[in-house]
Amino acid sequence: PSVKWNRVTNSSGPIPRPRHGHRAVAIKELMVVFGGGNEGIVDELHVYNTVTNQWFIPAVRGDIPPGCAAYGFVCDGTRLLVFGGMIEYGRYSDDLYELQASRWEWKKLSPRPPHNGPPPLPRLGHSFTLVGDQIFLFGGLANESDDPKTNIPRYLNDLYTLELRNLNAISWEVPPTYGSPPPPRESHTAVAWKDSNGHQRLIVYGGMNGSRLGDLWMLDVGPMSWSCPIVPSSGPSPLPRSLHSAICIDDKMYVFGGWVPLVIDEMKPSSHEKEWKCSDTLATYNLKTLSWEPVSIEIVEDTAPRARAGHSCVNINSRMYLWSGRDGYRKAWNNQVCCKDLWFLETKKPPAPSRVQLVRASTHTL
Amino acid sequence: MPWLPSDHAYTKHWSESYLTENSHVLPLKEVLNSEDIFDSYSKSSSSEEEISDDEIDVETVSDPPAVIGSSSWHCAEQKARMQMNECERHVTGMSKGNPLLFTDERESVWEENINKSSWGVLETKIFNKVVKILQSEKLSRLAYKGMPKEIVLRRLSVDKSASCLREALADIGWPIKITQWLHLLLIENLPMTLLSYYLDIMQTLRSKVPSLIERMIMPSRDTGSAATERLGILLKRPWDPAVTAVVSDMKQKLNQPVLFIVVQCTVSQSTLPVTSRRLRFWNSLLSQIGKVVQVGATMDDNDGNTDKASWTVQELAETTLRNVCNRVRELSVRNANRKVVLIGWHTASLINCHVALTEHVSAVVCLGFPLYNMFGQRGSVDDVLCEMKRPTLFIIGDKSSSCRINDLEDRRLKSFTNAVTQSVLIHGADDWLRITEKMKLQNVVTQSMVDRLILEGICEFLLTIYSPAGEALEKASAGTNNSK
Repeated sequence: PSVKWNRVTNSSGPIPRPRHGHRAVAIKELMVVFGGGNEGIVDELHVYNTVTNQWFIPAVRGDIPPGCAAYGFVCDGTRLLVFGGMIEYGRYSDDLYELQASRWEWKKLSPRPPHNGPPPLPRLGHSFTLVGDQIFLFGGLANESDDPKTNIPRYLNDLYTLELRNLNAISWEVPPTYGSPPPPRESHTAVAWKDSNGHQRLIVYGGMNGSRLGDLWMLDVGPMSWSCPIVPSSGPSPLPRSLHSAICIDDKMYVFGGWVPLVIDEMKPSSHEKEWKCSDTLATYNLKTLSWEPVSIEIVEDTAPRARAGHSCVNINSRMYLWSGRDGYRKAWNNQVCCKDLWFLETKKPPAPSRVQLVRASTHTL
Repeated sequence: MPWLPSDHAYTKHWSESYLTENSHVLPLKEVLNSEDIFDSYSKSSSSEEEISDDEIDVETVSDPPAVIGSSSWHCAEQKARMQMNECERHVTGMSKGNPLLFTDERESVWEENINKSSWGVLETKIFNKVVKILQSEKLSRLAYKGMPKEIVLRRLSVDKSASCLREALADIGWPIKITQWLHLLLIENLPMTLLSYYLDIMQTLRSKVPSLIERMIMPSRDTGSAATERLGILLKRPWDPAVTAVVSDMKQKLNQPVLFIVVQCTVSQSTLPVTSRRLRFWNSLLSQIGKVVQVGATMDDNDGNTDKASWTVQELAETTLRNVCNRVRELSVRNANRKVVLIGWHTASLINCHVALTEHVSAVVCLGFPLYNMFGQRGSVDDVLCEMKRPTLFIIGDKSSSCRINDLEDRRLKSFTNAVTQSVLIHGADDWLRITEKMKLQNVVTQSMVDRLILEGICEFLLTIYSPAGEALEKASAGTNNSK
């Protein structure tokens, strides 16, 4: 099955400023974008309607949060949850906000700390993933220093869950896990996947802990056991990376972009690489066969998104929508600039509309 | 943790480094005085606020230096005056043969002596207009008589009168009968001074709209020997202080053989000469400092010129780009000892910038630069122009609608970071670097004088970048790219 990139042009409405470190979630055919930054952290909320190709800015009310970047963003029905992220240079947040998209109303939540430990540290670059009825918070980077100007970074690999069904008393939990957890990291991705037997899993990929990572970890949510899937040596695995995006569509994890090391030293895999570049590769990981699969991309007049990092992707139907992100190539000339383009990846050929349906649809409108 | 600020640089300005690394941006130069005469007057008087009862000296006049020109050229006063008064002398010469016709007394009564009985409305109207133009020309000549820059002022007033006449004739639609009648009437009846003004004006107008004027003066050239004799002067090209100026040798100063490739963005036949007088003048200007080659959209006429007319803009741009690239390669091989400089007007300057991305040229000179396009500004994230490496000179006018100097300076600082760039701002100039009438009067310059100033700017830029310091700078700004 081949996939195809399409660039979205001629969008109407207020197009948001290009940025990186933002997050996006999908509500039906809407893509909601919040935060991120470039020359300053953004506190605007933008919504893109993929059907009408239109951006709009909803009028929000309530406890409007400050802008944040590299935070966690999760969508549960029409309820969006925001946790952590950078709110100022060197200052990270541990606040939890809720946005009710049906009313565009923000609310600051105060979850109870877990009964068996402290609440999560303020952090950025963590993963915040909805699996079933729970949100899983994993990893990220904390600042040990009280002074935002001096950064004492601490990579985290702690795991917290947030139960969503219990509306009156939302609380953090530190679930007991089995097996060896992934080592500390930040700017990794974590996607949720439900296998054919109905088992929910959390897949953690890549990230940064001083050097870019390319390992894959899987948490079986039922027994809460970690496993490090063995990547078959036959399939070429992509370069280690962080600040990439990953989404899961139909048993396949699509990974795009991110920072990758410029040179890979096979001899010293743990050496701290000095040079990185942005990647424009699209990799797919088949969660059923646990292997990286080659992607055949239909190239039409070499239209594919430029290399980037710190972008965000959402899954809407069979498409992966990708907006903005930071252009890594320009780092070469000392300029950090952000892409202002919007793309979608068609992962499936849309089924040909059947004749009967069309006729019926048109008679209905009559 | 050197990567942390770079990985999570959400708050930092994306090109903050320009604050420390901006050696590639050569300072902006400004041409012409932007200040209004009255502004500067009120400013200077307000600055000396102390109230004094001293007598104000209103009698002695401090003469500003009367030199027309600048470091690289100057106007040979004597020669220019000769040219300026050519029409006058011509008319005086004619009057010798017929003293009765050209006496001063006639000047006040000549209008009454004309038999207007058979005139229609149109004739009366156009005649009155022409008389008005000639009168105002006379007044302005009297006003600046003896002033230090009289030559330039004369040029400007003749230009203005010529455009007034053109407007008046265009107003009635240049009817052959009326214009021919008017011309005959005027050369037969005008008194000496006014006739010389009229000839001056017609001479200027002929350079602007040659065929219309040819038609207007045609019958008078066939009738009567006296009339024909008077008209010879009309066929001369109008004088200009800067065109006939004395030029000091800029080539020697530059000390570098230069090949200017003048790019045109039009479908032109290379066999035909350049039709625009200004472009011709520019070619002659450039040839003072180097060899000039003109390049258009097509190499010559044999490469598929069948449907040039049906080309889209896209096709034209692509063909021009391809052709210019080819020509640049070819010409730089043929002129291996010369530094290749691409030069173009407005849209062509954009083509040049694109050519310079791939071809090895030593510099790009943009005479006007379309910074804005339909989708915003050039030189933003997606634009390949950000990768320009060749030294580039932007010459733009502050009245340009397609480029504002602030935006251009911003781009030079933040986007065109691989290239040594300089900008020259011409006050009161538009997209094609044409100066407004007001600016001309304010600074007492003609368009061709400004063009010379622009050429000086180009020369200085080339001098800078060909100097050892400039070459080091170019290497450094290109080097920042390679090292990272």
